[in-house]
Amino acid sequence: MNSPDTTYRPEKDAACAQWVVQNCKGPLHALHRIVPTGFEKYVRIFHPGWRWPESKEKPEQGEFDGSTYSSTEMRPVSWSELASRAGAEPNGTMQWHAPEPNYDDPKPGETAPPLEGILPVQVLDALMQILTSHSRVDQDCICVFWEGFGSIERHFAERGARIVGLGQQGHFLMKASLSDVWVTWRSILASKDMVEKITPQAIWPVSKDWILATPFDNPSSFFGGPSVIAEHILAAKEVEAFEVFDGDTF
Amino acid sequence: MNRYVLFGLLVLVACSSTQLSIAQARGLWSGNKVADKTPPETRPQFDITRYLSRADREDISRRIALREVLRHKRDGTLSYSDGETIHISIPARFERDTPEPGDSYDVGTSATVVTGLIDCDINVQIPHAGRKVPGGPLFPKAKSRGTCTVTPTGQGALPPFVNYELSQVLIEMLFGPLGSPLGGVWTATHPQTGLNVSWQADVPGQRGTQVFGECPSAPRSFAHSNMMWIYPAPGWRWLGDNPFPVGTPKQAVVDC
Repeated sequence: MNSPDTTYRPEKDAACAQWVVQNCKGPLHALHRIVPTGFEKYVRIFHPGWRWPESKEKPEQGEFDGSTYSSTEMRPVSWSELASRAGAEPNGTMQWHAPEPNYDDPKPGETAPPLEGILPVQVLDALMQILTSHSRVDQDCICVFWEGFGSIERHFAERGARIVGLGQQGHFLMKASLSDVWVTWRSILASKDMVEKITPQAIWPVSKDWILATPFDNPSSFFGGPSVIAEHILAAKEVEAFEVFDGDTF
Repeated sequence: MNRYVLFGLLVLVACSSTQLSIAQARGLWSGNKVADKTPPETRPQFDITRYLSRADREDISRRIALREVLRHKRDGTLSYSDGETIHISIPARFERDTPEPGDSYDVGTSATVVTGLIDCDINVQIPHAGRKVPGGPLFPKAKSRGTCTVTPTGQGALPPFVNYELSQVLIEMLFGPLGSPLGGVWTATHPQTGLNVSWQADVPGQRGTQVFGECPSAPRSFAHSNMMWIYPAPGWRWLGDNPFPVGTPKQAVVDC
């Protein structure tokens, strides 16, 4: 597995994130608190909910994780599907209103909520394929990591500059090529290690053409950038995405 | 009487009773067996953790966490902002209980004391504003995740399972003149059973290991402290300390 410590280099110059800090304003979970103003188009990427199998005999309780179902048996379910079932029109500011499942004894077909701060591998791959078709893969990206993860000090022997203003609390700046970011990010998502999962909360190329944010406290990710990339994301079948606008909150 | 003095006296009484209950608990750990002829229903119980309710354990966790937070605050060692991954390696000693008439377990006849090593990797977040459900209201919250494994280091088979309880405590950093808590204190207990167990924060279809508080009207500091309880399967006693703190409390300002 590609480790974060070997992938990311500390970015000591906070000035490279100044444009993000200055242009991220507003209430927590407002669009422009998460991604800066100034881009042509913004897209909200919905992390899927997770559905237990419709019909399946419950396996014996696993020794390791104590769960009655393995997470690998869960299937992604879109927000749009749930909205449509409820008779609502899916849109960029829709909220998750599925009832909380009984995790200890889930019923077949019940749905668990989407994960905060974690993109599914398939969605990450689709996004990265789009981004790397518009940006050079060897181009350096600035990657920010929330300071409050328990594993920051383990992953990064040396951290970059700290910034405040993107989302909530502080973030550390690191740097890596776009291709390295992709490989490491996906290998961490695919890993079964419980403690080691640490992925960036936002990345942008040093050319500042776009930004992809996956806040640690939000079940959605956000893209800001040129219309041509945004349209590709909106059209990707692996990605549930809607255009969002200034003033939207999530 | 000045109300602060009165409040301080109340706190002193509360602290004394906390110390006493913990001291009692620890003293009982090392207690010896008494006459076997005592009927099972009346004989003294030494594995005190087994006989504490979850509410009792939560209360002890809360009191110890408050004491630890105050101690670190006083010493200037309260970790601000950064989260932490804590690795704990505890020499484990489990003693076989002698079954009495009426007991529903059989512990066999091999070694009476079995040794092992309990290794835990626990990842503790700093408090932050977050939601219980997507789109819901904001609360101060913090997640933890990690694993514990038991490795035998001596003769004899380990107990068939160990009960672990990861107790998260979230403390609003608002204290009276004598250290009495004036803000909220919230706990969340996450039990796991097995020899090798894990606590998840972000896995599809599994309840997150997290604790929630209540949002104050203005940004305020909160501390997140974790405590681990261990007690083995029936028929076994845990010859060790309980509970033990998992790392240093993490403090951060939460702005809902």
